Amino acid sequence: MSSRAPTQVFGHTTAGRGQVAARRDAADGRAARGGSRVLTVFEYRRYPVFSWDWTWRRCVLFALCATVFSIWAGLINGLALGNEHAGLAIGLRSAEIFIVAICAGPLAACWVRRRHWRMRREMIGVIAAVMLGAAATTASQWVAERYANPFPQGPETPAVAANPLMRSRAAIEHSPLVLLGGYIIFLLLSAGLALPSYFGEQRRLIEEARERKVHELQLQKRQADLELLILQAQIEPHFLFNTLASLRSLLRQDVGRAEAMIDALVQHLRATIPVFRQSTQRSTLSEQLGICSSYLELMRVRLADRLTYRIDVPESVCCAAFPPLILLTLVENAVKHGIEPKPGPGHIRIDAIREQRADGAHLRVTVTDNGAGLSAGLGHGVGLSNIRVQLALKYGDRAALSLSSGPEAGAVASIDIPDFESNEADAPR
Amino acid sequence: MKSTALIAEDEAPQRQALRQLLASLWPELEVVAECGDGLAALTALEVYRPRIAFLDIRMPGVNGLDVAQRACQTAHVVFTTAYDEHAVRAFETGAIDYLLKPITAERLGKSILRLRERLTGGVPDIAAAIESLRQSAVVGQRSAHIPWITATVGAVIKLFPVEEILYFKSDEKCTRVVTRREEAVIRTSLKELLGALDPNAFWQIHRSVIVQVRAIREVRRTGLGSMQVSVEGCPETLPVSQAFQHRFRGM
Repeated sequence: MSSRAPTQVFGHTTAGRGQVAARRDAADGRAARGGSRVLTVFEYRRYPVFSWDWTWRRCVLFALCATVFSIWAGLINGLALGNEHAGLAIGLRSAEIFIVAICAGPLAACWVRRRHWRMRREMIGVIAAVMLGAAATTASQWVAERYANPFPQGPETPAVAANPLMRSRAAIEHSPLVLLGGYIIFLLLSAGLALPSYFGEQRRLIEEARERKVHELQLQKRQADLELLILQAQIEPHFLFNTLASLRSLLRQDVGRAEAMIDALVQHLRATIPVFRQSTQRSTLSEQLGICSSYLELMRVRLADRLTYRIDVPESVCCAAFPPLILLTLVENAVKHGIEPKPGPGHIRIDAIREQRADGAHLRVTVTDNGAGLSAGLGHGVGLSNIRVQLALKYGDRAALSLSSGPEAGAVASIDIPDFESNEADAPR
Repeated sequence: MKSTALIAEDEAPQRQALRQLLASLWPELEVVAECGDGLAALTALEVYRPRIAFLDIRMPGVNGLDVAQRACQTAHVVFTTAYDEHAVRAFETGAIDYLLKPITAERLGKSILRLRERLTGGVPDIAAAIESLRQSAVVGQRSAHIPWITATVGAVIKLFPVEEILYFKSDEKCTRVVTRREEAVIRTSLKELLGALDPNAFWQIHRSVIVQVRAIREVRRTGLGSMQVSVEGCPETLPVSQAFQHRFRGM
């Protein structure tokens, strides 16, 4: 996965959580209201490590601390030595070294991040930038010592040369070990301490990308499962052989009916099979209703008018987007568990309405039957729970499936989904 | 004695076709009743006492297997089915006669020969075979764990996905089903529920309480070694009895 611009990275690290993004908005809002952008420096940790927002806030904040410390150090030293020039020099030097130490590494790392390199390259770049920052600090210390030392050592004075203690001190100060120690301290000060959180962030990014992938795959699997389920239901041997048996019987009894039945079967197969082939295409309510009506027509002929049905859907909602294969499952349920088990005639009605609610337009499609109805107890069928999971994956908690016993008899199943028909940009996630 | 038969088949065209086929292959046979559902078949059995019963397995009201249980004491039963995996497997091993739909003249002819032979003797005892068929038909429909339950809210029966159920709490007569939004009632016992629910998702924490693990918000000790569970979005606290406390220790 390649890394992205800081703001994008931000969006991604918080995708699905949205908390940090919200906090950033809140922070910006506060800054705008308070008119003081500087106050947000305390919130630098809320931004992705080494992003510009993070870097400038942290630099400003740490530089302020370094300045305060340097003023204090200068004062103490100046007073102790009774030499205001030396105090000033010590203060300035300390401020210079600290500010370089604090800013160089992060600024370089920030520059690296804005290149938008691939992740591995960026990680190496960031480490190099931080190390470079520390090296720059060491160099600046050397420069400061050379040109702004309050106690210039210069070429060895005879006194120093004569004093072995002084000589060894000078030697220690310039030994590679001490230089390395100083370098490590600068490394930590500059951004070394931020590196773990940077890598943690990268790891989280990777994990989140993986999670997203898993979520996507789950959705695909569910879709495939559902398609398979419907496919099996359609060419379920019981369905197919019973249909053919009825057809065979009708051939001698009533040629007209037999023809009607073949037509319905053809229509049904034609309506359902292409859907499996192009399930990526946008499926509409009218398309789904077509599939349902050919199935109902087939069952009506088979049950010899024991089944009647009505589809009552206004023209205006027909082209609304509607997830494939879900409505048919409800209609099949109504036939299989409502009409078929109940002696005598039965009726199935499909209605659809569009409703305006606080969170936008909703589409509610209802399948009502006056069949055997529900009995309280344990439910073993997986078709309905499959629909539920499918809706949840597609629409989150904005969609609902409900099934309850009808007012007098039978059952009422309804699907409620957000209606994206009027607003294509607001597509389901 | 004249041979009499009953036909129970819910799809009218198929019912008529079977009668016509029987009329041409076995003209002496008198079809005394044609029934469109299981209840009518049961009544007709009582009224007409036919020697032969052609029974569709899937029928409205009472299914063919249940009708057969009654019929097999007095009549020779022939099942008709479009396709019932479990049933067909059982038929092949057993003494039960069956016809696969669409029914062909040839296959029906064979059945008729067998029936004619048998009509001279008594009715074979196939009650046990039918009972095992019924069992396998019920088991065959079941998934490992139930995905939903249907429960009563006032006068309405509603479907609840198990994921939405926070807990079950039973009292003397029935079991309360509590979800975030509403409360319903079922007559199913906790014991039966436990057998059907996913044991990883639902825990029994008390003689009368089963709770969804994911819904548990906190577990609190309330002195003297007793424990209480509170559930997300629900004011009621649930008792944890001594026997089930081990589930919460070391969490």
